[in-house]
Amino acid sequence: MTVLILAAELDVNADRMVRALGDRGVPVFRADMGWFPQQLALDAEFRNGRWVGRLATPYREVALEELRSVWYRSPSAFRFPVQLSGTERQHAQHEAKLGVGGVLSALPTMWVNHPSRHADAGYKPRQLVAAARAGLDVAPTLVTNDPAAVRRFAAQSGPAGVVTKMLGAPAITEQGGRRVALTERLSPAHLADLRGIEISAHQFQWWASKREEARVIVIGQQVFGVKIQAGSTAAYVDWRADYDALSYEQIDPPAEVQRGVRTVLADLGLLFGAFDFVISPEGTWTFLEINPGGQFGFVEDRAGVPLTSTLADLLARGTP
Amino acid sequence: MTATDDSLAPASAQFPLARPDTAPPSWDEPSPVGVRPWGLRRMGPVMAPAGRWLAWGYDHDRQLAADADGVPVLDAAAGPPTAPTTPGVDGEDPPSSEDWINDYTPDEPLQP
Repeated sequence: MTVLILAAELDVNADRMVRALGDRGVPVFRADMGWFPQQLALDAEFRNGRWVGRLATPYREVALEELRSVWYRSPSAFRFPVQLSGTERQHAQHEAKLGVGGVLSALPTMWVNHPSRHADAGYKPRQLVAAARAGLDVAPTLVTNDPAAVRRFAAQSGPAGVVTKMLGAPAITEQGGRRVALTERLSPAHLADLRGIEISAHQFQWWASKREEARVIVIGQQVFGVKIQAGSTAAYVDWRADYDALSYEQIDPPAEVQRGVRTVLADLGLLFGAFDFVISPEGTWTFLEINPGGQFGFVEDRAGVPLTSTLADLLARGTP
Repeated sequence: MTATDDSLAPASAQFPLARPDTAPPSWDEPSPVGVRPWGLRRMGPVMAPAGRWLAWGYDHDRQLAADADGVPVLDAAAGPPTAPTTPGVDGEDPPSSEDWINDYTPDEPLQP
């Protein structure tokens, strides 16, 4: 029985997983969806109530019915022959997604995480509901395209104030380069010029009193916590702003937090999640978000938590 | 009822795929204030640190990335943040979640 890893070609965590599963004697078939259709072939028949057949590259193949688990690790988009017109490419993309994605998603095997659950979990407003339902502390949050609502929300927040953060990725490419906007505290200057709020949805959240932050990785039923201490002003607001100023320490999250993250994961139908929390000076843990495809290599390296091996054990077992 | 009983993502987004790292960057120019979404007005440029990239290729036999000498990238380049692109959850659809193709690193942008 084989573990299928769907990942981009350059993905160090996927490399590590190939090695970890190899160390366990578990066969691995790694592929990137960017190989389809030119280097990856699907041959699937629906027979006796399930899909059977094979995935094949020029180098190896695997029977669909021989898969014990799938690690869905952010594979890249299909790549079609350059000769296709735009219309043809769009058609091919849609058919490939529904065909290849549909067959794979319908396999009766353990997914970490199932792509549909991954897609749904990307909606942060839904995450907040799941977190609150699980008993986790969630900061008051506003999603709006109304400038007056932003000013009202900021006024209600009191002296602590408000932060703004993207609902999706914090970066784009534009003018030939990458541009980024991390979490930022709203200043009077921001509130004085909200032009463009009305163009799309924007997210705001009351500032959660912060002593430090924590990333909590849940793999199956196992919970790993790492405290992230910011050593600079920029990192204090958003630790992604200054990695050189961070220090890490493995910690055990409080029991209610561990219960909560497991409940959120179950609620969202996930087997892996990277949670971010703020820890207040009083020790209260406030949920920020869960990333169903969150990174963990840096946590593993800098805090010494055995994440790759735990995930490898789960994938090798093939049952949650 | 759990959240999984009520799917939000449309069928077209339920097999999310990341933006390929070989995709060319956008050369779009920012729209003027008043047109540009407020959240994008906060955007600032991020430059990749020099010298952090290795020449690499995918080794189909070992199923991992390796440098020109055949040394696995995970052994040769452990450490620095190396996320090279800005992938969303899908190469075609707008992002609804954040992820990075090369981790070693966080869900983060590179340092300026």
